[in-house]
Amino acid sequence: MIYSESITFESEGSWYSVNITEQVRAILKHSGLKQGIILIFYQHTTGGVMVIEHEAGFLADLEDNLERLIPSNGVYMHHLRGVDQNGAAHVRTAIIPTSVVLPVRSGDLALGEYQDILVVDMQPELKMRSVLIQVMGE
Amino acid sequence: MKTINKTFFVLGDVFLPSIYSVLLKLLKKIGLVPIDQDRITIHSLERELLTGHISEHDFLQRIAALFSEEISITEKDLLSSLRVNRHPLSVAIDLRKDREVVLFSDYPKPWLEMIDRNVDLIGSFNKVIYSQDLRCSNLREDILTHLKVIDDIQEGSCLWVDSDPFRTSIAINNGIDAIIYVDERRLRRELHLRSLL
Repeated sequence: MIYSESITFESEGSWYSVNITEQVRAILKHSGLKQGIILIFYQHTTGGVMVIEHEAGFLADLEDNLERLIPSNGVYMHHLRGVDQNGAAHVRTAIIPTSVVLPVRSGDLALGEYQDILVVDMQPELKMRSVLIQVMGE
Repeated sequence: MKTINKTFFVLGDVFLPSIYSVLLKLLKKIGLVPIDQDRITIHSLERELLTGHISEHDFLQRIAALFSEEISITEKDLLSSLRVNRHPLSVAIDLRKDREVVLFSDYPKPWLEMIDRNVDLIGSFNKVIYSQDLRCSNLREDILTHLKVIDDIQEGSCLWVDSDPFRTSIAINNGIDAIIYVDERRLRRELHLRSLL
């Protein structure tokens, strides 16, 4: 059985994150799947999805370290075409996963106690964003 | 372990939906879905309202004026369907047994008082600070500067509970411990980790 649904949200720009764990859980429940895997795929080139401890200090550390490695106001060749100014977001996305696959056991996500599913978007401006959830199994 | 003697809870998207999300739901109900540019404008108007630069009446009028269709949005339209999320409220009440608990309201005072008629929200806190009274320019960059002055926030002695990832990041970078609110279970877990509950 394969079941798909999407989650949409509004990214408010810059470094925006949203915990989608419970929404993913709700989709899994809706699918009726008991055992299998669930794919969470971020459908944009300016962000990604991670399984992390959703803690404010960690998010500040992640943002800080990405800013050091790939500064948001750096010089990016991507900007030469004059369409947008999100070069940093694209480079950061290359090192952040755009999808995660999680096991499903007894109808629930097999997440550890401190694990949550977080989507991060780094597009400078406000944009609608979508995440595809695909459940596979029985 | 540091001593937390004061906890701030932000109202919007913790106890109540943000004004922005309530507005979008209302607009959707009457068949209107704002484009990206209008969403940016609505965010901007919300900021002006919540930083005390425009009145509630002006805010609603300017929202209605964004659309080519003639629409009218009243306070009653906006507030009548709202229900307080009692889950984080029970956490705030538990915390209050041992420390000061402050509500930071990013709703205008008259609107919060209207909502409070149905549930004792205001009375569950030691104090309420209204964002409109701070008259800062931005509820993200400026808020903690204003609160440090007005409410004497000391680094290490207070905790900020908020669903806004920008503000929690600013709190952390200003030496103020912060919890990103997702739900009651996660909030209690974070408070337990800090030996606050």
